[in-house]
Amino acid sequence: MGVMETFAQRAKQNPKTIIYPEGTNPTILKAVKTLSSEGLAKPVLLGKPEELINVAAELGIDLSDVPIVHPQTSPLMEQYVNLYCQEKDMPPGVGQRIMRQPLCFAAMMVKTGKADCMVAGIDHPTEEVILASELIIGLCPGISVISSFFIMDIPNFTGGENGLLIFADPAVNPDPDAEQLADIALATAQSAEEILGWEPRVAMLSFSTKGSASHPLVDKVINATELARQKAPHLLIEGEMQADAAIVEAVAQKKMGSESKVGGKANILIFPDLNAANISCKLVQRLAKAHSYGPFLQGFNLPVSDLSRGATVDDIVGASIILSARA
Amino acid sequence: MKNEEIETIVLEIVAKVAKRDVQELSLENRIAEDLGMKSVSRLELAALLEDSFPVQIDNFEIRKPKSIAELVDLVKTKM
Repeated sequence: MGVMETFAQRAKQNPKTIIYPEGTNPTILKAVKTLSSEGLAKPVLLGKPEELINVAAELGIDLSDVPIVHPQTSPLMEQYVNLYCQEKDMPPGVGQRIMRQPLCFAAMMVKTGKADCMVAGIDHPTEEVILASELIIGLCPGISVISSFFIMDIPNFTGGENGLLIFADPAVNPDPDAEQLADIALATAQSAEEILGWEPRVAMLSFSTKGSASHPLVDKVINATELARQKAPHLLIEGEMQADAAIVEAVAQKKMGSESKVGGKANILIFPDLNAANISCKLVQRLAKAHSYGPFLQGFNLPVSDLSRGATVDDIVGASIILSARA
Repeated sequence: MKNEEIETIVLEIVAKVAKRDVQELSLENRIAEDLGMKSVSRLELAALLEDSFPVQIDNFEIRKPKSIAELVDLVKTKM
């Protein structure tokens, strides 16, 4: 069974309430209809009901089984403004201005348990999704940065976790320092456990393996590995190591010796910066014909997924059911 | 509204968001480097400015000012 089939099966067993703040987007409406009619999720749309119903009618979509929340007329608005102002010590005018933003309102629905998770970003840049979610939902305890990961399903690759690997961070942090890189590794390990049920084996990648090269860029990865170990002593995390030492047993044996528990067996690859992670994702997609799922955001206290602005119906359905696994 | 009044209110707003004493701040302070304000704080900064002045500042515009003085300039150009 493929990755998506597995997630779809899990989602059907316990469909989650997902809020979509970009309710008037036609691709969102099509995806929501699929999720709802196939029992994969209990979607809720945010927006002006007349407007949503008109767009849906033009697409031939019946939205009668999908709840719509209109923030401006919803009794939740006053409740959320009060909650926000109380928590942040802000005047009512500020609370109203913040809560009028659909991403913030939707994030508040997740925070207050009206929804299990939020899927957004088809009409907003990633940064907007991150800012609204960080402001309202906040970060996981002990995590200093939001980051992202891809699940890579690589044909004919038998390593990693049954041919799957997680790559991080391909979308958010351009040049993380050692502390941020450690947090990216910890958040990714947590995502792998929660979403995929893996026992994480984290490789901190570099152009050096166990001191084969000396450079400040190598030191950053060594320091990040040490910081991550201090925060999570039981996590299987090793570095610095090269990509081949991380995923090829024979190379790991040669470069790292037989005592390594991650070398050759890594299922999570943490790249030293955004250049390396993003370029690697694209190359593996194109050269190895890998299916990639993501980028998924991580580090928030509650589940949030960012969509590419070119996301297709399948992308949105996929992001929604994978996110459901974390909810 | 006089320039001095605008500056005083903007300084008070920045102090509130940055959780600093207003006496510690000067117009030359850089918002990120000197005050350690994260990007997420800018959402609240924009909302507070809109609440205090007859201006509308979107989430893109509020990212541009690097110092408190530039923030004051943004408010003035919007009024």
